[in-house]
Amino acid sequence: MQGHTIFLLEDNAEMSRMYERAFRLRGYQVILADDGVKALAALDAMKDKPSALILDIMVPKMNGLDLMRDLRSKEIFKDVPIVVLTNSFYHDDSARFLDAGADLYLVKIEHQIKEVTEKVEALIHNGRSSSAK
Amino acid sequence: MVIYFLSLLTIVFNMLLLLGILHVVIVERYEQIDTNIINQNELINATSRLALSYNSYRNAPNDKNLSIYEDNKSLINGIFLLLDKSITSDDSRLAFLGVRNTINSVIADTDAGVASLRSGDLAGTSQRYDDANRKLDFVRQNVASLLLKEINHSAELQASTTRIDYISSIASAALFVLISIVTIIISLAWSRQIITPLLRLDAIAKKISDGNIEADVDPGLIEEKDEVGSLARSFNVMIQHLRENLNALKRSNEETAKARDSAEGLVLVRTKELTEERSRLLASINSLSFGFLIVDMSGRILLKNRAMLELFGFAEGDGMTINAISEKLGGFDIAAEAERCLKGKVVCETKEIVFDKKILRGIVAPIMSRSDSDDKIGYVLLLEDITEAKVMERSRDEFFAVASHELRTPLTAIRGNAEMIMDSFASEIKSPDVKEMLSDIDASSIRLIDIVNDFLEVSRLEQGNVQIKQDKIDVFSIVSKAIGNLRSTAVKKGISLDVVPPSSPLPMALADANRVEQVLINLAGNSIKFTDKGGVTVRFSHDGSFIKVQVVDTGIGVSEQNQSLLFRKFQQAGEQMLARDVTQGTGLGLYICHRLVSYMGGSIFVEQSELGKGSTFSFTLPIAPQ
Repeated sequence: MQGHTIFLLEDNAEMSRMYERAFRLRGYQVILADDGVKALAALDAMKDKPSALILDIMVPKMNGLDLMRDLRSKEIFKDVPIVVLTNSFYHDDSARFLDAGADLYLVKIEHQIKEVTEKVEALIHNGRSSSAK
Repeated sequence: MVIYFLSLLTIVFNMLLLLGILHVVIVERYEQIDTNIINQNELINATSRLALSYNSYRNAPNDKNLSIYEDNKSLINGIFLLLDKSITSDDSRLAFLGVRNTINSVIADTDAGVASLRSGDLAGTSQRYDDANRKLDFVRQNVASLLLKEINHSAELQASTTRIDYISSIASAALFVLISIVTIIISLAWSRQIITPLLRLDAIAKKISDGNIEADVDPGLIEEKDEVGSLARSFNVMIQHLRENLNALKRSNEETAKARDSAEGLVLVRTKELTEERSRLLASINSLSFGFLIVDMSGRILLKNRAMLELFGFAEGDGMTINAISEKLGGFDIAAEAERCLKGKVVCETKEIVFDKKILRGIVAPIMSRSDSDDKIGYVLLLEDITEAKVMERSRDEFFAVASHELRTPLTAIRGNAEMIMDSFASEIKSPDVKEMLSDIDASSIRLIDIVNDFLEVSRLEQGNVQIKQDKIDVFSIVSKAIGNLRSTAVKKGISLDVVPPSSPLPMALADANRVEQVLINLAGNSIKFTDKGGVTVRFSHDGSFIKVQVVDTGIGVSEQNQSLLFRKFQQAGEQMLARDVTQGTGLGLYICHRLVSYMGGSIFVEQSELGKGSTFSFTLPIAPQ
């Protein structure tokens, strides 16, 4: 959607470019960070809150779950959908993240890029309560 | 020697007999004289009694007294007879005759008196009595002189008896000696006659028994005409026969010895070979790195190697027993394993045993007395320390899991970008080649992703890090829903895809819904892949314990020899991998399904398949208890 900003935390360069491109082509502005510390700094520096937060949970400098909880504790992100991305084969983190406030837990390799953008857009569009796992 | 003594004895006995007779004869003689003497005394008494009995008759001339008188007379006559017979010497006879005359005249007197008395004439009867009495004295005198003569004779005879005895003693002694000497001489000569040949034969017999079979009997002996000669000849014949037999025996012995030597030689060689073989075997067994035991049917250890001892910390002499080992292995019952194995007559592998921070693998192999028999001698137990191998396997698995994992991100990037190009930049790609290349890149990346995912799935299943849920599920509805995912693919290929509802509602199964979906998609997906005409049908059935899901297709089928390889991991059938499940799949799909279905307590199998006709793949799930 036009004018929306998406914040993307992803440490792998190719993945970062891919998702950035995918959302850019959909008309979004994408703010990037490649580690947890930078992410928090960037978010603090943002004037407006993003429409969605897309976080790869296996990033350096910070435990993904802790970052999640940290963000969810901030009032400003109360209504911002958080989509957690992973390429881990082991799924049992999903419950924890979802309990901690994530709206979507996606295994990157299991979804076409198209699906990822569609799901994120749906969340942005319909709000957090409409999250389809 | 015996003969000599016997003959001696006989002679002596005869001699003594002779002497005895002689003695007895002589003794009889003077005993007779003694009797005579007694009788002669009797005469006097009898004559006296005669006179008296006459007197008694004279005084009382009755029959009784007469008979007494007659008796006395008879008595006297009887004595006369006796003496008459027994007195033999001349002067004694003269005396006897005198006595008899005298007594007879007495008798004459008394008889006359008796006659007178009987006729009643008493005159002169007392005179007769006096006469008789007067004559009695003469009688006594005569008898006395007779007696004297007889006594002299008796003494003479006794003397001569003594003399005879004396002489005969000496004579018998002399005779004894003489005869002894003669006997000795005779018996010596006689025995030499017999014994010498016997000794000679005996000597020959001894020689022969000592082994000198060439000894012969004296020709001299053989020539003898008597029994000795006959014996010698028979002996000689016997020796000949014996010699022949011995020679034959010697020859046969030599042959046997030769054969035995060569056999012994063979045996020695073979024994040496076997001993060497045994040494090699024992050395090999001892050099094995894994523990080796041979155990007999009663559980006794017959052979153990160094590695086995070291594994359990026993020293050479310690009594290591099966029970001791079982205990050390935390109660792993070796005997029970062995029994199970022996019953089946197959080589069995035990489960992994953890001991002393090691992982051990056991193998039990029964030992049959012959390969075709049922007779079990015992079993071989091998205990292998597979800790290192296990660790390596684990690290290899971990490596592959980590490596596979690392592939996921790059693969995601490849696929994602390819798809984005095709979706968002399609207008900018004029070249159909580029379009096609992009499409291929995308397809390949998807395939790679599938392989990597399958690999990780297998790894996870083998690690046992899988949560398989046990829920009551409706198999029909799950399958129906899952099939929906494949519908578009089937439609694209122009083949049918149907799910046939069961004739009666299925009972609930106890399984994991997601995994059931996974299995079905795999089987149905395979069927669609390998079917170009016709279609795929899913059917349901149950038998009270299990629900069966059949995926039937009219595809290319699987050859019989490949059917057995279907559910394995990447099995290479020669140079080619299996057509099905690999060329357009990952080669692991069916293996994963097999694992999953097994975890859920069911089974998966090719129910039937024919090349060119089609296949039926089925899996079962346990029915949930009511």
